[in-house]
Formats: sequence, C-alpha cells, structure tokens
Amino acid sequence: MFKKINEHVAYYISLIVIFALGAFLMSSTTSNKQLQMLIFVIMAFFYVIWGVLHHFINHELSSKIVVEYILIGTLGVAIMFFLLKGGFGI
Amino acid sequence: MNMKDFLHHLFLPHISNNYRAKLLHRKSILVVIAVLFFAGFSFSAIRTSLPSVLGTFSDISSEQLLLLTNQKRQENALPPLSLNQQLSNAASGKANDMFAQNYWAHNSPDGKTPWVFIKGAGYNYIYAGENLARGFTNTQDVINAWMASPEHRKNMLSANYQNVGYAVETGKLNGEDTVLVVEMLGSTALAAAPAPTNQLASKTQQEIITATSTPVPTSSPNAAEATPTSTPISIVQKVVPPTSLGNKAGGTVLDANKKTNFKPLINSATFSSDVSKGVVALFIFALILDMIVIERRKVIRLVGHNMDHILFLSLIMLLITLIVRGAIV
Repeated sequence: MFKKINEHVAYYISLIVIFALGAFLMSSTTSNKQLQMLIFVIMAFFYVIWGVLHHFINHELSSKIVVEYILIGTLGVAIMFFLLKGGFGI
Repeated sequence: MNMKDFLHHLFLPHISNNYRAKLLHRKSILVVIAVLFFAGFSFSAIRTSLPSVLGTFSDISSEQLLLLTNQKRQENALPPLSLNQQLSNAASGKANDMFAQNYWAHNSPDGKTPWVFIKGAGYNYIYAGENLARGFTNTQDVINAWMASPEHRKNMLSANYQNVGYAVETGKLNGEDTVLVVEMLGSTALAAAPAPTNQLASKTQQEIITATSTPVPTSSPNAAEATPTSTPISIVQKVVPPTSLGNKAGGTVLDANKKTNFKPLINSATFSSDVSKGVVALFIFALILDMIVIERRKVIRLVGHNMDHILFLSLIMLLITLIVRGAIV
C-alpha cells in the first residue's frame, strides 16, 4: 500500500497544493458563506479533473473510474450544500 | 440478514458486495447525495417556516461577556469595566445597522463610524473602542478569539476604558443566518485614562483626539480611527460585525434581516455540522477498511484510488471545522 503511495508522491503533492489553496481561500472568506460554497464547488471540480488525469497518465482510466470520481466530488458538494444551506440558510 | 452481516456488507469488501463495500457502490453514493440535497432544502424551509424548531442561536450573554472580560483584566492587573446602558444601546444600534445595511466592518458602507453610534446614544466619550464577533455559539469562544487577536486584546485590556456595553443579535448577514456580538468600550473622563501600564495598550490601537472632534475613518475597512487634534483625548476602534435594525442612537432603521432572539429547539449550524462530519467520517472509515482488506487479500479491481478519496474527504472535514468557526473583526 505504502509502496503504491510512494509511486504517486508527485501526484499527491499536486493534489495537496490544490487543497491547501482552496482551504486558504475558504478561510479567507469566512464572512461570505455563498462565496465559500462557490470556492468548494470549484475545488471539487478540480479534484475530479485531477483524479481522471491521474488515472489517464497511468493508463488505468475507464468510464467506471470517471463516474466514481464524479460521484465522490458530487458527494463533497452535497455535504457542503447540506452544511451551508441547512445549517446557515445561504 | 442480521445486523452484523448488514454492517459487514456495508463497510467491508466481501463476495456479497462484489469485493467493494456497499457504501462505496455508485448507487449508495447517489442515494446519500440525494438525501443530503433534499435535507439541505428541507432544513432551509424549516428554518423559514418553523424557526422555533430549527434556527440559529447562541448561549452568549452580556453578563458572561462582562464577567469573562473583567476576569482577563483582573489577570492583567487592570480595573474592571462596568456595564453602561448607553454603550449597550450604541452596540445594539451598531448591530442593527450591520444587519440593515448588510455589512461586516467597523465602518458602514455609508461611512458611519462606531463613534457615531456611541455619541448618538448619549455617551460623551474621551476614549472609545469597538470589538466585533460573529458566528460564535458561546461566550468563552468569543472572549478567546478576541484575546488571541493582538488588536482586540489591546482593546479588552486597555487601561483607558471604564465602561463597556454589549449587544448580541441574531439575523441574516450576507445571506447567512448568524449571531453578531458587538462590544463597545469607553470612558468619559480624562482621569479615567491613565497611561497604559502594559505594552498591549499601545498607541497602535488608540488615537488621541479632541473630545469634541469626530473620528475620521481610515482607509482600512475594518478599523476606524480618529483624527488627532490638539486636545489629548481618546478613542479606540476595533472589530466590526454585521447587523441591521434600529439605531437607537439615531432613530430606527428598517431591518428585514434581524430576527428575534429566542432559542430554537435545534441549533441548525451545530446540528448540520455534526451530521456532515458524521457522513464524512463514515465514508473515510469505509474507504480505509476497503483499502486495507483489498490490499491484504490482493484482490484486483478496477476502481479509483481510495487514498485520493480519503484525502478529499479529510479536506472536507477540515473545511467543516473552518466554516463553523466564528469570525472577528
């Protein structure tokens, strides 16, 4: 498992950079929850793109995998929507 | 299928779920997504139609704010502040104005400084200051946040102040239901303004002005400052929160965003964040179990990398904490 992770270190570093940037932007906009939602949607979109590219470059891409990343990205958006719409009424 | 088999089927890769935890199947994820979107809209509707059941509230009180502030001052060898009704009126006016004009800053969009509210309430200050907070659910967190910020801390621990007034108001700001806390500090006599005894009360937080002059806002949207004049008198400025409503100092302002302060059955922000964290934790748990079991059994599958999803969901867990956290200015 860890060997597999080591093989993909560069990919994970790029993913963490995307996440760190998104987290920074969201922490900078604490007074505007609508903007935070928008930033997260963009971040989720980049996550899906990153996941698909990652598998494509490693020659293991399939439609099932594309759907899986889209679903996980959408799940993240749904969680944030529930939190911000249901919890804060945006 | 008994409970043990069901949980096994839900969380562990097994022949019964085609070696992929059932929770991670496409249909299961789709169901969770649909439920979350539906729940988000439903909660929003309930918040509007039944605010006594689901809504925003906090356990913040003026009495507790005063008590904890004076505790901090005592710890720093400073005299305690006394609650002043005029400053409380000014704080309430400021909170209402923030809701009415939909801003979160020390100065209003039309250029109104905190000092306008204080003077309007009839408090003829020599020194005055303002701290703002929003989105907190208890008093201790507000005090901790202010104390952790050098500028807010300076205001709280300034030897120039004798009086304080608080307002805790619930309303809608920037499209978000929130609780605003306004703290207005002041003193009315020069005798009450001894030289600061500790380095926290530095000039960076206070301006010396004439008692009759009107403080002029600086370029910083979050900090109002006074224009120095010939007579050494004071003012302080500080945090700004959002608000709307009547300005007791200068008449009432129509405020559609301000809500009555009452305690609903369920605090929507806390409840939603707990549920969200639970959902995220459940998926992270299933992904980790799935990853470990498949690795040990050397099962070959064509699926995405669990580690990618775990990282993504961990980020969401972090963001939930960030979002629920209150803010100060």
